[in-house]
Amino acid sequence: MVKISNWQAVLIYFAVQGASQALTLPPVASSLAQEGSWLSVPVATCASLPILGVVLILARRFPEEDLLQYGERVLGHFLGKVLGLAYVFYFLEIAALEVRRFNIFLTTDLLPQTPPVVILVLLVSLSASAARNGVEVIGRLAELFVPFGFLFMFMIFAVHLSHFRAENLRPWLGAGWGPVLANSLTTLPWLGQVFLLGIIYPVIRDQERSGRHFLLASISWGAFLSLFCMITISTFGAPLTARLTFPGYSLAERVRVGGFLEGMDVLLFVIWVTGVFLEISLFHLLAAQTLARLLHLRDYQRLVLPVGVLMVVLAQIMAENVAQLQAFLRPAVFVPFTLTFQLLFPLGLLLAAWLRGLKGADRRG
Amino acid sequence: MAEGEPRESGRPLKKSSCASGGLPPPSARGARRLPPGNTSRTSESRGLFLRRFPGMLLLLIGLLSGVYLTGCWDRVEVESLAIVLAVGVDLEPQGDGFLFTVQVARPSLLGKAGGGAMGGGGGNGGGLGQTRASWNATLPGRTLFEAERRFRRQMSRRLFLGTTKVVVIGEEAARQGVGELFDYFLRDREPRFTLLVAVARGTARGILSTEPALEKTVGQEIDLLSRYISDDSTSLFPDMADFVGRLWTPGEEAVAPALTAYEDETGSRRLRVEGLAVFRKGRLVGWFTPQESRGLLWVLGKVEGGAIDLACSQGRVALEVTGQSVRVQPGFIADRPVVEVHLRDDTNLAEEQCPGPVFTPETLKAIEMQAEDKIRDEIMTTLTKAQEMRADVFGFGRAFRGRYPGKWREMEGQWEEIFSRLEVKVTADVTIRRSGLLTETVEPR
Amino acid sequence: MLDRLKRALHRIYRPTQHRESPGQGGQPSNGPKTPLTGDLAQDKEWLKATLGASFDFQCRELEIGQKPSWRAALLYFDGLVDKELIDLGFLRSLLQEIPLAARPVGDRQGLLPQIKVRFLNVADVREAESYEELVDDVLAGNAALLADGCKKALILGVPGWEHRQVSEPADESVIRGPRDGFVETLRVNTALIRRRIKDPALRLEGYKIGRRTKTEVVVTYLQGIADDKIVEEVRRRLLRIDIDGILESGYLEELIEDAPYSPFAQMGNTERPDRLSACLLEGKVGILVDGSPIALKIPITFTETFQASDDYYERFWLATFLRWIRFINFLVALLLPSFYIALTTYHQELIPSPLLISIAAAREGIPFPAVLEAFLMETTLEVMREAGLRLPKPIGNAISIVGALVLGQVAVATGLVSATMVVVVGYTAIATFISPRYSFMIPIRLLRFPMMILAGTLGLFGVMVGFLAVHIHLMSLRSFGVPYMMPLAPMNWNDLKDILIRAPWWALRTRPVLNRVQELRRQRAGAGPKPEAQ
Repeated sequence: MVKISNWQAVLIYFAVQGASQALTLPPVASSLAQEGSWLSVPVATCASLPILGVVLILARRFPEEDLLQYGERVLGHFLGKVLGLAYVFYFLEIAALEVRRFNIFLTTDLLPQTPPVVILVLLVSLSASAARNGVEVIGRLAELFVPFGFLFMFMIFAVHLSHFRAENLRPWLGAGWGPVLANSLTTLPWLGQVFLLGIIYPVIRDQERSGRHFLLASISWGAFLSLFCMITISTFGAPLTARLTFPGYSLAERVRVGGFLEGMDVLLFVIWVTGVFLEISLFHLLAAQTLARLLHLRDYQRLVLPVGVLMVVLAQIMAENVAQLQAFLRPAVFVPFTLTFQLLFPLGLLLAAWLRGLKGADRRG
Repeated sequence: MAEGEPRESGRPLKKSSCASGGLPPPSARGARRLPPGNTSRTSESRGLFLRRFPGMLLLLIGLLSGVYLTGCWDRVEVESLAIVLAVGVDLEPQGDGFLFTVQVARPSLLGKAGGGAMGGGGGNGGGLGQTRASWNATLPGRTLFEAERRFRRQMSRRLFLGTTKVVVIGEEAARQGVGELFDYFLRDREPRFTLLVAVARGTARGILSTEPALEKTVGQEIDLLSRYISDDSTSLFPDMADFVGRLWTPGEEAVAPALTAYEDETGSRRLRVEGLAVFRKGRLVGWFTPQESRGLLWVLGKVEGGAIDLACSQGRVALEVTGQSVRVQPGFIADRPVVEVHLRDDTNLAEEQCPGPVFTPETLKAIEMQAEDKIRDEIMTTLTKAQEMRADVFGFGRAFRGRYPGKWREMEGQWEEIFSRLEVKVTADVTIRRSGLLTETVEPR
Repeated sequence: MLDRLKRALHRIYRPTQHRESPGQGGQPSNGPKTPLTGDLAQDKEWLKATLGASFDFQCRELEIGQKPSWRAALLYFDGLVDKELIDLGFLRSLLQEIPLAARPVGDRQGLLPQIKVRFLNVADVREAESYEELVDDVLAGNAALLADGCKKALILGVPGWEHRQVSEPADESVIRGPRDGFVETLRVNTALIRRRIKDPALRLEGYKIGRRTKTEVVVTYLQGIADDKIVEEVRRRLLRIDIDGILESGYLEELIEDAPYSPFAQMGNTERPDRLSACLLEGKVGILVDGSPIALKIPITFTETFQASDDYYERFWLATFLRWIRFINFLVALLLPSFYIALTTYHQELIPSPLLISIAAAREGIPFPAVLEAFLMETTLEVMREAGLRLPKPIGNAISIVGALVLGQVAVATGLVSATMVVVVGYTAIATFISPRYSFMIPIRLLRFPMMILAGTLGLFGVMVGFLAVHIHLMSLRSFGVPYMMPLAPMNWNDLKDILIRAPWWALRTRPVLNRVQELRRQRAGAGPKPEAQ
């Protein structure tokens, strides 16, 4: 059985988060909380901790089994399979969403005339080849690239810190906590992806220490994202930030040091492509693996290609334009959608397992 | 030999290794044996190769030729770009849309040393001949995008705004309002956030068609001007992000450098920065002279250099500002908004023409106090002017908003009114840190 | 304590099937054997028939002893044996001393053993009982002594063919460090290793591979340090080989590597005995092949690309600095042309405008798009490199001067290619040579071309796609079970001390984990340099 280390799992998590947020920065994308919108990140982080708790407790109960295995044991064959199918759908949907957003960005900013399908196919074939090689390879890729991603990000931050405009951040709570809390709902679905750590828990080598690592990971991602948002707001001011389609990218674009150090957006682009690739690979892998389990196939590799095709198709039909995509991403739709999978299902499973007194085999035993 | 044969033939060719002790078949017999074995091996390995190869090939084809079949739509060679160095926006004389001016580089004249010299020579002539390193083109359009696309009709290259340094806005256009102009520059993928914003006294077109004095093109000249204007601190070059940010931030008005054309002694039209253009709600409402501009820059904390000219006993003293920190403190006195501005400035003694000893703590103290007064005066002058224009370029409103968000909501509606009567207290603290390489001045006996 | 001792003893004295002398095979021979008949005439005939009427096959008839005297024959290949040694070493004793011997030499069957112990002043003497052994040994450069009526033959190890002297390796030259390199003779090479590591745990297991070439192959490692599993895997893979001939270690490399389709080398190679010894001490396994001065190292990881022998002989500051130069230039070699293409044809806004304008100026009038230009230049460069490589040195130099200087200059002057492209391609070519391991940069040279195509069609995104694809491949590679990108991903802090930096020797207290060594510690803690208290 291939195993990854906690560190790799955490880096995969960072890649997932970075890919989904680095460019669009959902916390500052709405003018709801204005200057204080970065505050919604810590709030959302706190709100995401229970999700982590639930999935971890659940995963610890069944440390050797994946979701579908214990799902079937806890809920019975039929319901378990339905649950599995639902999760396959979720993974596909999120992956397709990410691919789509990636596509939108590329066709908006870098390759406006290239047919989107080319980009989609290329990206998905990359993720397919990573998914074929298994979680171990994804973990290693994350281990190699994600630290560089952070290094580059901190470089960009450092450049902006030199003309940090604190007055752009005031007032922190111009309209009180209300808007901040409301705004945190735009961020929560993304930070709630922390539940993926529970999903990949069975392939982790040193499970004893996972809990602490994952907690630290989600907190430090929250801190990083807050910093990112703070710097973005301080650079552009809240009103402009809220109007930008890709605030994160704009932040990198604005770097200009000494008349020669420009084009930091290359760095962000490179980080981001890598992040999206890692994220999609993970979802690709999870979808293919869960599907293989559903169909009682021994190796999931055969399903990688069909899943990839599904992802491309889904991404194509997902949204006609950015406005539609944003309509899907608005809290009223997206929060219930994601929370169902991130919190509701795991919580239900946990309760059912607890009531039925079901437990997985202890690894040490 | 007779014994060896049956065993030898019994040896399965594939599995048993011939390594080490494995018996090699004696000469001729073995040689005869080998060909079938060999062929079977190659055909088998070919089978393996063929079995695995398609997958890899497919991946390769998927990666490469998939890309190839589709072509390369976005590819533009550098030499087929019309690299725009600066753009200007004026109002169309009939009031119908804009006049969009682009200054396009001629790389062959700009890029190489020899070409540069030629460009300079041509520049002196003042003509628009082929020898000039850049070429200005102006076209009208209802929207900037429309105008930009119209250039395709007369330009053999693709207009490229990705490395444009500066956008100059004509006076009239600025008076009409700049907010809508920037939609294009922000929305389009090419112009960058580091695009500098400047306002022309007169038309932007006129500014862009001046002769560059030291650089090869006006675009580059403005770009470099922006870098060293801080030594004088009489103007400010915000980039697009800054400028638009200020336009949109409540309680703060935008400023942009004012560019003027003048005629130098050779009769060429040249360009210079002269103070600031002041906006209110995105519309140009007036100008600050360089002196007034510095009054603003003091409060914004943007004075990084520049001379403070002071009188001493019988001559003049010049201090050079080297560092600055500002604290803007909004507050209320009896429900009346008041702003306190505290400045701390580090200066050098840059020039001193006073007879008699100056370099003593007491005299320096006196000079410092004089400088403080001067700074205060400059700020107050600017404040009065800004209050007349009702343009809160200092961002006092935003200071209130940051500090007293609740009260700000009440004031926001009539902030312009409140600002025009706002009481501002300025305290300055000037310290002379160094005196250059001389202590006392040169005095002939 | 006792336990450990016992285990260590066991490790050393374990009844082992690995014999240390090459030429005997590392495994019990399982092929059929035909015993000698004992009839000299018949045996001789058999051998002559087997070996054919070879021009260089010699059969020296002898008669040993007086009353009784025995007919005997000495068989060897001329040119493979040391004639002088035959003359002085035993022909003299056989023909002159036996008759004078005080004690009779015994009967027919005991003759050869007696001769072996009493009269042959040759060190390497063995007995053979079958034709097959005999043939193998004679072909390997030994002489065989047959005696009439004796069912055994004596194999006399007197190899003495002409071979190259130990000289400085051509590929991995160093500024500071030993000047000897491996040669084509296996025995010399094994001696070079033995001379460096005088440890009983140094194992040299012999194998014969190649049905026809019967090439001697030696697997060498330090027992108790190298991972037994890896050694076992090496053995397994070697024994699986079924090929008629091994003429160079490159054959072996392709026959036993993990991912046969990968462009990346999964085994290190070196011409330097010091380098191989260092690897053995780190717990790697080496493979020496007779006839090849290139030894293989197993397992290998990608970071090997950045390690040079000099690194360990020069001061560590320089070594660390050079490591980073190599890292950066590795990326440059892979990415620079494609980056240049991507930036100039897709993302011009990322180029500072003065540079953009000068590139545009340089490109004005160039007939080809940047991709094609780069392709052209890169191909030309490879052609020049290849042409220069095969030619005798003086002509090779001329080619590179004509090619690089004249062609480049004129190409720019006539407007065929732009000057910036020449700079880019030229620098890339130099960067390709930055790695101390020639074979490790080969995939980079190859991958550059698809990368350029990707850059030319999709810009930076294409470059990223290529870069990630390469990395997916690298991450899934393994060299004998060890992840190919090992100290980087999966990351291992212990090993990074010799990757990202070259820690000073006193700080390299442990062996690399990636070799899965059995004994990690290589220095006592606190054994570093300490100036004496004054």
